[in-house]
Amino acid sequence: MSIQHWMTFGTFAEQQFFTYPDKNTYNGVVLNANMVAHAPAGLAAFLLEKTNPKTVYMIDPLTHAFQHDPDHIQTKDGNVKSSVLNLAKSYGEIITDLVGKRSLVPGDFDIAHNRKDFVEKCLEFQRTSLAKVMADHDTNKKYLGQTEEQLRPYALISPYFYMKEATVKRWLPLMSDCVDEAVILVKEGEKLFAAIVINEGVVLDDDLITEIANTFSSKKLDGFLIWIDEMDEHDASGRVLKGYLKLAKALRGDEGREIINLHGGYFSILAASGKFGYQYLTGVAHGPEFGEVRGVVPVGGGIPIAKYYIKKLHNRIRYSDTIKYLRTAGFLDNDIIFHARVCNCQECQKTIDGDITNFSLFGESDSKLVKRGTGFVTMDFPTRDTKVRCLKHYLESKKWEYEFADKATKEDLITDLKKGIEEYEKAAGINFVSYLETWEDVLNKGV
Amino acid sequence: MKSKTAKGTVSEAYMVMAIVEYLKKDNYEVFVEVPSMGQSVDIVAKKGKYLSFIEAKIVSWKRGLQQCDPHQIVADYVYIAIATKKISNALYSEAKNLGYGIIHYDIQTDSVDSILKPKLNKSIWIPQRKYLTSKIRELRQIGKDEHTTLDDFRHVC
Repeated sequence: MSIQHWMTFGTFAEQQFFTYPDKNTYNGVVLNANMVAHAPAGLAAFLLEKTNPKTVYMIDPLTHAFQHDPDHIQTKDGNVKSSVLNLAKSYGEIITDLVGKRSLVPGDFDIAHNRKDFVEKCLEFQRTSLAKVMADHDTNKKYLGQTEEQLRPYALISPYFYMKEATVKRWLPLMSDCVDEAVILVKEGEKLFAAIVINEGVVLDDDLITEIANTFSSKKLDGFLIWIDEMDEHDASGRVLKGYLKLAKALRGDEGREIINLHGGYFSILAASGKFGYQYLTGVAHGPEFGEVRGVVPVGGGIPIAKYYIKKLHNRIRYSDTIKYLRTAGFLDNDIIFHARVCNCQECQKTIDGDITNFSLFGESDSKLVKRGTGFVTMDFPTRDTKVRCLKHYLESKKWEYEFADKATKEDLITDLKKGIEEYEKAAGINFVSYLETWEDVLNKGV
Repeated sequence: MKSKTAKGTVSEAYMVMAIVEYLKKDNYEVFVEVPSMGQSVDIVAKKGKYLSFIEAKIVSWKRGLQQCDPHQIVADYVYIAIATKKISNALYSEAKNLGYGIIHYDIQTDSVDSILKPKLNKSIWIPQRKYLTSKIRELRQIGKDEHTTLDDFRHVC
């Protein structure tokens, strides 16, 4: 019962990490449709040259991007972002007519042929936009020799929209109609997924979970993507996590459809392990850095700070807090203790290199002047080397988590969570580490 | 820089500069807005081998105390500086519990005074302290370099 390990593509600067720590780490790559529309040749080359040939991909059609306030898809000077505009053109007149001017509403698809045209174009975009370019790419012709059909995405995703408690009744019927159209349009051998993108309020409402699951239960779907807006598994209440599992279980159904969380952390990995009585998910995706939590409506990223992933806490912790926690626990006393109790990954071995004082390299920074209000302040930014160190350590830790959850017994998984609490509660406080207990409790009780 | 309002409150920048003057009179070498572990420390004051970190706040001293927390990795002494008419008992006892000092900028008299002495911090992590010391050395060099801009110079008071 292996857990599919997906990684979401963020920027070309990160492409070298899709074979880190090794080329077999990732089962699949999730690409955003706007990036595909903007740079198909670059992404085709990335998939062919920077990932394992066995690694599959999916294109998130990002259809929800058109339902929000147009400000979110515009540049500072008021123009629609070129990548979004390119995508809108691929989705047809309905979208190009409104993009940047107003938000898409369900009523825009009241006319059946408009909806059909949109669904058709959305699926065709996913089906061909990279596969064609990849098939014609020199690397494919010289070394791989795969046909366009063989280079198609792992699954096609039916158009989807972001739903809150109050808007489920508006968007769900449209999503249902889109799936009906998509079922007719998929070709033999192609998988079809729906995407459930919702806020936390939806998973707290059993009736809505049932309504969503019932809407899709009889449709010919192979799987679902789940994305809960801004849900951080470390901060989420037990009720939210239970609701999330309920939704996953209801969608999975008796047929055991595939369920992939687009932005999940270790709780999702545990839920996918099947060790707690049920395999709620089949795969979990995360980004090279910030992908375990993501808002549906993008917001500014803030000032980047160095964060170190503490394996036992299954959490990225800001560097200054990491020092505090590790020192309090005595794990920075020397390199032997550090590797035995904190991390023994290649990157940590290489960075520390027998001298525990080198742990400070995970927090190295450059100072820059940043405009704030009417003046400037000096801020610390992690150096490029620091970012790479933290990222490599994070990716090695994630690989370990997927494998550990897959191979360990339920008892071992629980012991690991308990150890996290034991080892860090004095340094970080009970309230901070209590999410580990919440995870155990929710998974143990099941839904 | 001086920006005292009609209500008698001051800006944080004004308070910082007043504290800087106060510290300089006491023979401290003073740096402002010193970057440390992803934060910008309002004032770092050096005397001999000891480094004092000062977080200045005109409101929200609780947030100031939170910001002081990471400084314990590198600073010998940690202070919160606050601009008020008088220091609240809650701030005094919380700072005392944490071992932090208090510098008070009295908005009525426009004067600065150290009213709670901090405890010597014994939990410095030496590698990080060394890293900070090298940064301060860089800042000091910026101050001496005649080709640097005013923006660079502002670190060193």
